[in-house]
Amino acid sequence: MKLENSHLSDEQLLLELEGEVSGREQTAIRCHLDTCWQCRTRRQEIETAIAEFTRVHQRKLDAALPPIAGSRARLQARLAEASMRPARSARFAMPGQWERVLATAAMTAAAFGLLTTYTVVSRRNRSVAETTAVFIPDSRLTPGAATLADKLAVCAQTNQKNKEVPPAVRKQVFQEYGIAGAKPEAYEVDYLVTPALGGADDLRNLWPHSYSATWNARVKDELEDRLREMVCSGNLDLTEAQREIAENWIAAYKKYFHTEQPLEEH
Amino acid sequence: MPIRVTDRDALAVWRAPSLEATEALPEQDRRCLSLRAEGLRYSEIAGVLDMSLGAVSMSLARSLARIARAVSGDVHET
Repeated sequence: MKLENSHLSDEQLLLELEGEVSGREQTAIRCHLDTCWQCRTRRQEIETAIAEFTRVHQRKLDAALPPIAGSRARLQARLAEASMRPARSARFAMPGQWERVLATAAMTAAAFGLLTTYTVVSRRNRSVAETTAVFIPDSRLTPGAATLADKLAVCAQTNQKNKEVPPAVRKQVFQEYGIAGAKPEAYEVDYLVTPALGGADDLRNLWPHSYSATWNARVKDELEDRLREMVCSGNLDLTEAQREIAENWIAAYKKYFHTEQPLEEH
Repeated sequence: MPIRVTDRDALAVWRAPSLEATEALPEQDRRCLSLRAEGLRYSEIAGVLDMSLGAVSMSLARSLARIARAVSGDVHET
């Protein structure tokens, strides 16, 4: 394996990450990684992609795939064979390798700002969820939704304040996020795409936004005002504004306020 | 006042870029990813899907590169 004069391929990076290379190759790859920032960054991107896919997979998306012919029987045969060998059965008993990668990747990805969703609230983990700071919605529960795509209609709205979310809907949002037992005053049930930008009164557009987070609801309000101003003065396309705020409102804030942190303390 | 349920056809709904990228993958690549996510080693995936070991690692590397591009917002897919 020649590594001296070139960068590592995605495949080499992945194989090393997965422990699928021989000891000699692993040493060569790690030596290269020690000196090459570019390959190390790429490695982190691959870890982030693994974390992202794991989240998608957990939603059982692949249930839509046609079954793999015979695979279940072959798998069962392999598992039976594996149980005869302690080392192999231990491996099967630990399907969590990617989960560990997920945890590491989540930390590195947060630093790189690559994940669109930082908080995954598990219903099995309710006690943790009750103290979870949610500052970006779970894109599976809250993808964002808009009803108005017409700039004139949006800019003609006189009342730009968000409508009060009815208690029953608040309760439903809390339940969906697995924080039914959390203190209501700790969160604002927030619109992802604000109605002032054509956002919809729809569960898919609502999420519990922590007041205590640095990137809290009041910071988001600033962004909403800025985006609306830009849309109505013709400096930003309405659908683009809706898309950006729905995809990652923090990234949009950083982009439009040219800052890495909220401008004022809230 | 109960929340108004909007006309779903009129809604513009955004989805996670990783989800879009995953759904756009060829079926075999998705199978490789799914089996890996379930904890299978590369040789086991190769056995289940009747692929060579090299084809499994190429498939996984290719798929993860696509997901990484989607997540980082790089739309210039190759």
